[in-house]
Amino acid sequence: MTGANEHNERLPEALVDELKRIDRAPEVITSRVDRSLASMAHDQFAPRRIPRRQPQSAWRAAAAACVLVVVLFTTSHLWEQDDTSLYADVDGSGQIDIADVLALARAVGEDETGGQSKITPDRAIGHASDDFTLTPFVMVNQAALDAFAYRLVALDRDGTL
Amino acid sequence: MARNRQRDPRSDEALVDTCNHGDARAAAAAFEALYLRHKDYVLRVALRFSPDIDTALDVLQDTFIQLLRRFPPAGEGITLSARLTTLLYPIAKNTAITAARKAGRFPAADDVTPEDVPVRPVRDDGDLGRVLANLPPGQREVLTLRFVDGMSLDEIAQALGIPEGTVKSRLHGGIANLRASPLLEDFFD
Repeated sequence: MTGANEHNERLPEALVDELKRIDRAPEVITSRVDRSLASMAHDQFAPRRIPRRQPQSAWRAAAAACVLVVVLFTTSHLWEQDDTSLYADVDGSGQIDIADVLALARAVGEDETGGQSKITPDRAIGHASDDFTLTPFVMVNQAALDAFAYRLVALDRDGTL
Repeated sequence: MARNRQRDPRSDEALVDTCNHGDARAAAAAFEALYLRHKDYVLRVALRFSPDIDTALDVLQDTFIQLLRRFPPAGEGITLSARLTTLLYPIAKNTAITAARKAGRFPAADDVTPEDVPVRPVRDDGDLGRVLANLPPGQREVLTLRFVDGMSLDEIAQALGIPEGTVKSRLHGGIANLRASPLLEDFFD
C-alpha cells in the first residue's frame, strides 16, 4: 500500500472509537427471542437422523462375525474328523467294506435307545478290531452309518465320491 | 439457551459445516452457537436501516430464520467463502429495508434498490452523527463496514455485491469528506 493510499484508507483511532460508540446497539435482545430462534433451529433440523452409537454397533457386529468364522472353522474341522473316523477298517479285515458298516451297525443296534446311539468310543471299540479307534468327537448314528455305506458303494462304482 | 455456548470454541466454518451435515442435535446446537455469536452484530446492522428498535428485533429474527432455511433439509447448505458476517450483512440489510418499506418509511417503488435507500441516522450522536448523516449513503455504509465492522475491502465488496474498486472509491471519498468537515477537525489534528 502506498503512503497516499494509506492516508486515504485510515482514520484516527479516536474517530474510529467514536464511530463504534455511535453504532453500538442497546441490549434489547430478550431470552424470549433466543428461545424462539433455538426452537426454530430444533424444528428445522429435527428430520435429520440421530445415529445412536453406530460405531460401537459396527465394532460389535464385526467382532461377532469374527467369532462366528472361528466357530464355523473349528466345527467344520471336527465334522471332517468325524466323517474320516467312520470310514475305517472297523472289523480289522484288512479292507474297508460293507462288513465294517455292519460291525458298527451292530454296535449301534445293541445300544439304541432313540434316534441316536449312546455308543462311546470305548464301547464301539469293543465291537471292532484293536486297530480301530474312535475319537471322542465321533457320534455314531443311523445317518453316519448311511453316509459310510454310501461312500463305500460310490467307491465301488467309479472310485470316487 | 445456555450462555456458555456463546464461547463455543469452534470456528464459524466448523459450525456452518455442522449445520450442513451434522445430526439433528449437533446441527441445532451449532446454529444456536452461530446465533449467539452474531446476534449483536445483526442487531446493529438492523438498527442502521430500521425505523425503530421493535422493527430491528423483527429483522434480527427474520435474518436468522433466512439463514436457518439455507441449511438442509430446507435448503441446499452454505459454503463460506468469506466471514459469515459478509453473508449476514446483506440479509439483515435487505430484510430491514423491506420491513421499513412495509411500514411506509421508505418509498415502495419497485425500481428502488437497497443501494438507493439511505442509511437511517438512528439518533443524534453529536458532531460525528451530523457529519455522517450528511455523507452520501454509499460512503457512509463503506466507512461503517470498514471501521466499525472491521471488514476488508474484499469482504465489503462481497457483502455489498459491488466491485472492489467501487468500495475503494467510496472509502476514499468518505474519508476525504470526514477530513474536510470543520466539525471533526479535532480528530485530525
